[in-house]
Amino acid sequence: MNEKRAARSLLVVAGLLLACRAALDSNHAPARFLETTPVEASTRDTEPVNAAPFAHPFGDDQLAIILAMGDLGEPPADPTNAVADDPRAARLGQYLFFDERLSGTGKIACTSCHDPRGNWTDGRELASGLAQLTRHTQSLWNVAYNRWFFWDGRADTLWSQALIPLEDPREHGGNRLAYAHLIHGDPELKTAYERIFGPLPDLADADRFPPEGRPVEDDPRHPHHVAWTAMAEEDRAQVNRVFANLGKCIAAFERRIVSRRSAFDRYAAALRRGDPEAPADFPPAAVRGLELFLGKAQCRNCHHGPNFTDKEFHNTLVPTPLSILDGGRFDGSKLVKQSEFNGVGPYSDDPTGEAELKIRYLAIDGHDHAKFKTPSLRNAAVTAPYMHQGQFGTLDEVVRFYSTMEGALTHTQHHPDPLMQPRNLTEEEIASLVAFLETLVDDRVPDELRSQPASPVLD
Amino acid sequence: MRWLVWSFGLAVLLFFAGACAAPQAQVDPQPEAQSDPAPPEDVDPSRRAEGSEGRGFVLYRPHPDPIVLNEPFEVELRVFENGSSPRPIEGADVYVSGWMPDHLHGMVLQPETTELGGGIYRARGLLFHMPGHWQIFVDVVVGRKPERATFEIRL
Repeated sequence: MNEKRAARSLLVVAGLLLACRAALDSNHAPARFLETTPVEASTRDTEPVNAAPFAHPFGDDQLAIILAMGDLGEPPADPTNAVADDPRAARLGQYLFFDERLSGTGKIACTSCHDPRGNWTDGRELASGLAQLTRHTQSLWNVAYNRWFFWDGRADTLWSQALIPLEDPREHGGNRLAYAHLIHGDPELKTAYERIFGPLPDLADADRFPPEGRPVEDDPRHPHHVAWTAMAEEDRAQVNRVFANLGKCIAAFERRIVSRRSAFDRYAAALRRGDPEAPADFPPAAVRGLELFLGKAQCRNCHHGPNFTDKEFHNTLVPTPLSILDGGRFDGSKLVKQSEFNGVGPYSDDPTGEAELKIRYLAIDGHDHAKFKTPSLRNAAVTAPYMHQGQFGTLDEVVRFYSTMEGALTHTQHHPDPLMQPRNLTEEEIASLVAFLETLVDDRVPDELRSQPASPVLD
Repeated sequence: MRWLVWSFGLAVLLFFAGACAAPQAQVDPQPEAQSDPAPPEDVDPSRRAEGSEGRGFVLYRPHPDPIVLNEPFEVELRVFENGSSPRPIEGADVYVSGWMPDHLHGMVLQPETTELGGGIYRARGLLFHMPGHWQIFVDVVVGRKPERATFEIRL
């Protein structure tokens, strides 16, 4: 009898040990059932037994495309800017973004065109700083996701983009020596700068560092150019370094202007999860518009990926209100290769990797004449007008242009583009496409980003 | 009773042996031999293209594989001369370009090719920025005689 009891005890202990072993195994290498059971359990807990995913018209290929479009992650890293994600740089950059002293007249700031109360643009057809420009101001929403900057891509990094308007006589109209002196002479700005980048060069010697100066390649007799070229090369490099660092701080701020939680993203997330109900803010007209976007209207040819752009350049044959000849990408390619502030230049913090790839292999191609950058469509519905010269005031007008190609330029015959064909959309299709584009809006940004901080120094 | 004691002992042994065993390490697959002059026999047909003039053929492999829309990639090319036993072509001038036949445009980048030896060449600076039908042209020039191999890719 005792033997039988002992035997039963041993069997129970052995069984317990084997059960423990199974549990330990599941921690080392999850068994197959562990990969599925928790999901099934949570589904059972939270959803009706018979819930089926909501109906939609998309096939597997289209579904994969939609899920990818609705999955915009954080802005990509920028190794060319060592302070791109440094909060101290973002604070100084935000302070400078609103500072009208960064101009030749003391009356122009970045916000003069990129108004935070106006979705980081100005609502004008053509930009206007100290003078009117020949292209439309682009919104800064999601600017950190770009591969190229400006309509012609003449900058390859966000920080080098920020430098060009600061010296353009039609925009801020200032110069790099004056900006370096501004930082040097303002105790708060100097403190903020030196906490990020270390000691500023001593600019007190006016013979070595004149109050104003910049290179003006197309006007060698310009006083700024004369002053600049009279400086020692190493002194010019020191000023360039300060100037580049200001751009890197402004870029660190601009990287925070992100839009990636739109009604479309919620719809894509619901598709991904297999929700039983479609989100109410993605109406049937938007579903139809999305179908057209991927299909008949062929918008996705250029507006693809999670930021709705191929990041490159096209000639859409859109009519131009100006009589000037704009070389677009053809000129931009040459300028970005020549720029001393490009991603492979002496002021880049990492001239390898993608920065090297973009510049080294960039083709200078005559076919790029009059091509302009594909803009993101996120927040397009709140950043009218549209196209590189603000040619259209509404999204409806833009879609109608691609539908009929009415008024399209015909004289750019040196690069015929088979994609530029009328889409022949019906009124219902045009309205559906616009309804879809209106679901790409997420114009929320923390309030503290919409004004100048009290101090450029982050405690 | 004795068999029960042995069984128990065996269960304990199995328990500890299993629990203490290290998880199986992931072993990287052997890198493909680069110095073998003969073309591999099990090549995916879409990765082999005959030369336009019939003198040879090219094998290609992209990296990353598969090619990702709007992400830069490289291609490794193995260039062979036709014959009863195909011979790797060394010292050729090899040019690589991309083309969208439906759009009538190519890539935004101009790739550069370097020779690695043994008839193997690597091209850097490729990027397919739009979805659709792409062609990769590999122009091989030996002794001023050009030959083009074309690969078809759909993104």
